[in-house]
Amino acid sequence: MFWQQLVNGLTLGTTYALIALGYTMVYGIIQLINFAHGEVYMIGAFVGLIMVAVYKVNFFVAMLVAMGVCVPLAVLIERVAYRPLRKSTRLAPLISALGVSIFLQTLVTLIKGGPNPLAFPQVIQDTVYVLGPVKFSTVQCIILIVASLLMIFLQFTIKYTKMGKAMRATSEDYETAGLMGINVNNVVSFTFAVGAALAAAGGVLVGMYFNSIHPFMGVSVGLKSFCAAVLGGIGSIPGAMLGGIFLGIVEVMGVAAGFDSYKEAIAFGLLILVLLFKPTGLLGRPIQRKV
Amino acid sequence: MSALLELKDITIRFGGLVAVDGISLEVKEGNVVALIGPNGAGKSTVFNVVTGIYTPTSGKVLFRGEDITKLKPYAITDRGIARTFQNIRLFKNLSVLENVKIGCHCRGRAGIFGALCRYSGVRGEEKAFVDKSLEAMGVVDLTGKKEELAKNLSYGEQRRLEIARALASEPVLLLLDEPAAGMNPQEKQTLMQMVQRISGMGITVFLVEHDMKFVMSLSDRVNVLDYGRKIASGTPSEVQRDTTVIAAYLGKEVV
Amino acid sequence: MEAVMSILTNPYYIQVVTMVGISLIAALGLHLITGITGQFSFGHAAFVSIGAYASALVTIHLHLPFVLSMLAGGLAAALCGVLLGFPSLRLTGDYLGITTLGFGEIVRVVFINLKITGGAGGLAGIPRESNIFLVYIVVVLTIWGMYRIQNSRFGRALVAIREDEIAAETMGINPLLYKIKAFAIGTFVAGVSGSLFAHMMQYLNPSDFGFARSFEILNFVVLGGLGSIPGTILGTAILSLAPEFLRFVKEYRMLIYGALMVTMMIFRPNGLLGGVDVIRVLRGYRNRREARR
Ligand SMILES: Nc1ncnc2c1ncn2[C@@H]1O[C@H](COP(=O)(O)OP(=O)(O)O)[C@@H](O)[C@H]1O
Ligand SMILES: [Mg+2]
Repeated sequence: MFWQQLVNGLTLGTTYALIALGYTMVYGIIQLINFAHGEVYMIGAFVGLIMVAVYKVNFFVAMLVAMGVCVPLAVLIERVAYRPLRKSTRLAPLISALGVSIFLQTLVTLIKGGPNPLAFPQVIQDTVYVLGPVKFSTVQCIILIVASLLMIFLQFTIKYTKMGKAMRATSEDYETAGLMGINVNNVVSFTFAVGAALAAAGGVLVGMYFNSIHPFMGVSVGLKSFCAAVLGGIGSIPGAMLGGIFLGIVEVMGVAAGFDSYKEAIAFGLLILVLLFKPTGLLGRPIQRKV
Repeated sequence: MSALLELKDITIRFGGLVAVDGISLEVKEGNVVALIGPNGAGKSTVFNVVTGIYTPTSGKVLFRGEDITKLKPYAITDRGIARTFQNIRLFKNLSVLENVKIGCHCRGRAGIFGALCRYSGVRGEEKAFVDKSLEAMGVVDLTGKKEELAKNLSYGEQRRLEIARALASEPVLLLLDEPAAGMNPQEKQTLMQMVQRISGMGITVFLVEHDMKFVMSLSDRVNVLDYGRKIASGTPSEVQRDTTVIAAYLGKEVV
Repeated sequence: MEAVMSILTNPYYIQVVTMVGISLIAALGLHLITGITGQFSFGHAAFVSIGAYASALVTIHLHLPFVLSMLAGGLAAALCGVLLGFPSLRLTGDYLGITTLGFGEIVRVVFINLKITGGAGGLAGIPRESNIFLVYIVVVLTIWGMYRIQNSRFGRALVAIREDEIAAETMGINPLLYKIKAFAIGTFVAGVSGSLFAHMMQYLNPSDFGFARSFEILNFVVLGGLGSIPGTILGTAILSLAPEFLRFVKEYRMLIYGALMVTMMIFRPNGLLGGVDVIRVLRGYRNRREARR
């Protein structure tokens, strides 16, 4: 039972992690809580659904198309709603992000013709594999494998590519990176693009896992994933992965332990608890105030 | 005369870097004492330790014989130490008068209830704050700018406003971190007179400054830091003759 | 004349205008926390809900006069504000924001699960005790109180913390203490607003106080002009009435609302009245008029 819950928690956690990565990378570079990130994830799920249900394409193709739609969308959002506000007060881009978020939710509701959920067609033959005490469904396997591959790919990009180095430099010191000849605007766009690709994949995977998607699905998952990013230490990529998985496991265990009706509060309770003891999250660097 | 401020074997580390390394020094009541040394020597860090912004890794700070090492900055201000910052930290969007009135904060009592009811005691306190602020602004010649926003002042005026704000807290000891930085010779000259005026008011002054003419003509004693260590201390003329000092620092700048 | 009268006595319009007042009270509380003290709070609606439920329960079960249950609502919210503030106000900026947001969500989930508050079904049967006059009396009192606070030793300390916390601390201000006090007052005011809401709607449901509502209140404060009381009033009035005026666009309403939020921020990042000192402008106008005479 415990091991089964652990696997379920891990599956949920990796989807949180996929979305948390987008929050953490953007925050690491421009210190913005990108509240519209949850909506990018939601749109990814819808595009995936359309591809699978209407165009009857293969599941992986659907995921690629979802990424292909979400990447330019996120880059556009940054251009229009955040870039003009990069030098203003902290709250201005935040409000702008909320505006984008409301806009996209309504847009999808209008296009879809109502807020009620849609069922995600069963495209994967769901066999169950038994491994000792735990059962894996095919969908769980796909989520774990795809998410792991994406995260490995991300680590590789950040560690070894030129753009990855530029990202690390920019998140270390935005001003100096600019002075050193890094085109910070490109770095920011690239960061939004990578985050959106991961979120889109997450959307399609979650749609398939929970079998239901709706225009407001990004809100709660988005907030929880942001919690996961802060939990792990915002700005830290391994932190977001750790935070997401940790949160997924705690949430599944909490529900299994009978706190079903408090499910939506578990993430926030955990977050507050961690921040009180480690004010910058599990893997975050401590803040040293400089005078 | 006993020491007003006494640092005993202060060390502070930031990660692997030892910014201040076993420094002991004294500031005697009524004196103007200078702390000099090349950039990065640890001067501002010493000020941050004295004002409670950093807690030293080891060592003690005594003020009027009391151990203030672990006190919070606001408690230290309350006991009579005020300061200015090397990188000006004014309340930029507030007027000059409001900036200085905030300096009076620790000498007042009115709270939330007083704010809402504004009974006569509170009105009297506000009046006293304004008077005291105008007086402090007078010392640094800013009275004419009281309604100006701090961010619209010139650089030199901003530095002087920081001094006025510090004076408003009625300090016994005033720490000035590079007060003349960025000023032209004429402004420096006026500033020198202002520091003398402040010293004449009975306030002990402890200052960091790079301008050697400024330091040598104002100070009663000079302490020299290099790489976090104290390499010399004495009267200005003693320090100027000190060979280690000349080697480390002065040789390049002072004839 | 008759047309004017019919508008003035139309119960729907009265309700809308009363709601603007109730929102304004909550917004003024957040104005003190975020606009004056500079501390992020993304869970303000939770304090409104605590005040609403507490006062409603006091009225229903203890049959106290409304003024007392309003006070109880305010105090309950302030108590929670202080309890949350103590540990979390050490956190800065976005960390404080996300903590308050989390607190708000927890409060909502708790109300969904509590028996005494009617759970997810909501709490009904609250007597109708508040009305437009009472609401606007409280509005005027709150505005007056905020102005008094802003022009006092206490208020200056809060502004100092907003402008530069380290400098404030070296001026003898204990930042944590003052932030907690600001939080206590701001959440008290939120609780009072909640009490008025409860005794106006006569029904409470946890879903009315989610983070969407918290961000709506934050919007009132930011879009009007952060740190400015006239800005907060303007922001609350415009944004609360916008959905009414946007009724003709029907289902595109929220689409336009979202787009407006983005455009307003881009063209006025400091809010409509941000950086405008209304009192100075008025004084200048009066002086100029007198000079012309
Ligand atoms: N908060 C801090 N974190 C890390 N290093 C610091 C911090 N404050 C000061 N330092 C380092 O300590 C050394 C001394 O700095 P400082 O006291 O500012 O020198 P100065 O003599 O120029 O005022 C410098 O190397 C500086 O980089
Ligand atoms: Mg320095």
